[in-house]
Amino acid sequence: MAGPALAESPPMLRRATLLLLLPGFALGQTTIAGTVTASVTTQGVAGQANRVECDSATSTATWNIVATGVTVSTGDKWRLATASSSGCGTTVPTTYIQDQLATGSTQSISGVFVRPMATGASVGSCTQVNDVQIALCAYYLPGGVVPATVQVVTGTFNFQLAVPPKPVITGVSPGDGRLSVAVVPGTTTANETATSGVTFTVTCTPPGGGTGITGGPGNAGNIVCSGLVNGTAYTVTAAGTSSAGNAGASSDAFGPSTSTTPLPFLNFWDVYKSDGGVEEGGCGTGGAGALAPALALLGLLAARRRRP
Amino acid sequence: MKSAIVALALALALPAAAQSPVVTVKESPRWGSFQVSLSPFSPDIDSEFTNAVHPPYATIFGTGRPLMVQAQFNKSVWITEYGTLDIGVGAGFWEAWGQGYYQGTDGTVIRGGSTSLMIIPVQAQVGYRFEWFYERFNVPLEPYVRGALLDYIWSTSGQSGVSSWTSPLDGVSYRGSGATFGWSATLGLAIVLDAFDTSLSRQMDYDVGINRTLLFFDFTRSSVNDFGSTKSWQLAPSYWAWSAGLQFVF
Repeated sequence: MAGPALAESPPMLRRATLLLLLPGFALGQTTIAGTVTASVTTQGVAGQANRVECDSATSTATWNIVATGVTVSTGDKWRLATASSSGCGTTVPTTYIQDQLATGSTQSISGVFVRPMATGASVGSCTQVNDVQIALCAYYLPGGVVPATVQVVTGTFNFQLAVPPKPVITGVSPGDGRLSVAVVPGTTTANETATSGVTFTVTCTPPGGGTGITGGPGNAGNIVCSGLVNGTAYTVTAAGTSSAGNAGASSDAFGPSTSTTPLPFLNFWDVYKSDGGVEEGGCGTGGAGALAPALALLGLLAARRRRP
Repeated sequence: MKSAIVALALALALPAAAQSPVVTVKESPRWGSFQVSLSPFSPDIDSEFTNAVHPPYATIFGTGRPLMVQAQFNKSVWITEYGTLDIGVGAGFWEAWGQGYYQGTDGTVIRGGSTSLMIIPVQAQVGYRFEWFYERFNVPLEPYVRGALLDYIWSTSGQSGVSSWTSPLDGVSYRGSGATFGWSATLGLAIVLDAFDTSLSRQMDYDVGINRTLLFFDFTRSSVNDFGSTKSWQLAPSYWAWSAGLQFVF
C-alpha cells in the first residue's frame, strides 16, 4: 500500500516521506534461524514457569540459544528480552532483561531472573486464571552495540498460571497395606481452568489427623497409597497439580469406611492353597510334556523342507 | 446376513481381489491352514473342593466365563477326495481378574486387592476335516474332528506380582505359576463360505492363495491335570466348551 500511495504524492511530500521512512528501512529486522528455550531452575519443566516462580524475586531460568548463520566474535553480545506472544519487536529494545557476552552461536545462559521475563512480556498478574504465552527474544549485538539491521533469535515460553479444578474420588479399593484410589479430573470453573498435563496426588490420612501418606503423582485413574497400616480406616483425599506445578484444591474427603481400610487380603493362590489345593506350581510332567508342541513344530518344518 | 458373513470373512483379501481380472484358472495346491477362534472358558479348579461352601475359583473370580482367544497353524499331510488330515500347533491367551478376600475374626468377609489367573494354552494337534460333501455335492458343510496334546502355562498374581504361598505347617513356599499338561478332543462343523460367492473365492485364491474360508463352530472336551496327577489341579472346563472362529485354507 505504501508504494503506490507514495508514487502519487506531490514531489515535496514524497521526499519528506522518504526521509521519514529511511531510518526504518535501515533498521530492518532479520530473524536468525535457530531457537531460544528457557527452563526455570526450581521446577525444571522446560519452557514453563508456574505461579510461584512467576512471582518470585529469586527464581531464575536458563536460556539456551541455538543460532545458525551467526559467526560470533569477541565482544559480541546477546540481549535477552521478552515480548508478548505476538512476537519480538523489530527494534532492539532499550528495556531488557540483561546483556550477555556471546561465546558462540550455541550458548547456555543461566541465572536469568524469571520475574523480569514476566514484566517484559506484560504479564499482568502471576495469579491470573489462564496461562500466558510469551516470546523469548535474543538480539544479536555485534561488537556489543545495536546494529543497523536487527538480528534476533526467537522462541516461546509459557507462564503456566492456570490451576486445576479439584478432582473427584470415584472409589477406593483396599489392599494389603495399601489403598488404590480411583481419581477423575474435576470440572473446570471460572478460576480453575488447567486441564492439560495435570497430575494427581492422593493423601491417606489416619484417624485423628496424623501425618498423611501420599501416593502418586500420577495421571487420572488408580493411584496407590502404600505403606499403610492394615486395619486402620483412612480418610482419603486427592489433589491435582498443573503441568508446571500449580497446586489445585483438594477433593472432597472419601471415607473413613471399610473400603478405605487396608487388610491382608488373600489373593487367589493364597485362597487355593489355604483351602488345601493340591497343585504345587512348576512344570507338572517335566520336560517331556513341554517337548510335545516343540516336536510337532519340528515335524512341520521337516515336512515342509521335504517338499520338492 | 449371509452376505455380511461372507464379506466379514473375506475382508482381508477383498481389496486385492477387487482389483484383479476375472480368474478362470483352477484352484492352487493346498498345503495348510490357519485359524483363529474365541471360546468362553472357565477352568474346573473347584472340582477339588466339591463340598466347600466357598470354593476358591468361584469365590474369587465368580462364575463367568472370560473369553479365550486361540490361533492354530496346520500343515496338511494327507489330502484325498474325502478330506484332509492336518497336523499343527496352536497358542492362545486367557485371563480372569477378581478380588481377594479377608475374613475378619467375627467371620465377616471383606473383598479387596486385585488378583488374577492367566493361562497361555499351547498345543500340538492332529485333525481330520471331512470335505466330501462340498467336493462331491457342493454342500458347504465340512465336519471335522481334532485331538490335541495341551500345555497350559499359567500364572497367578496378587498385588505384588506372581503369587507365592508359604505353608504355615512346614514353611514350604509354593510359587503360583507353572505348566500343566493334558489332552483335548474336538467335534466341529465348518461352513464353507466360498460356496456363497464362488467367483470371489477363486479371486482370493488367485490373489492371495487362500483356497477356502471356513466359519466353524465346535465343541471340545478336555482334561488338563497332568494326565491325572494327584498333585495337579484341573485347568480344563468341566463342560464341552464351544468355540467359534474362522479358518483359512491355503
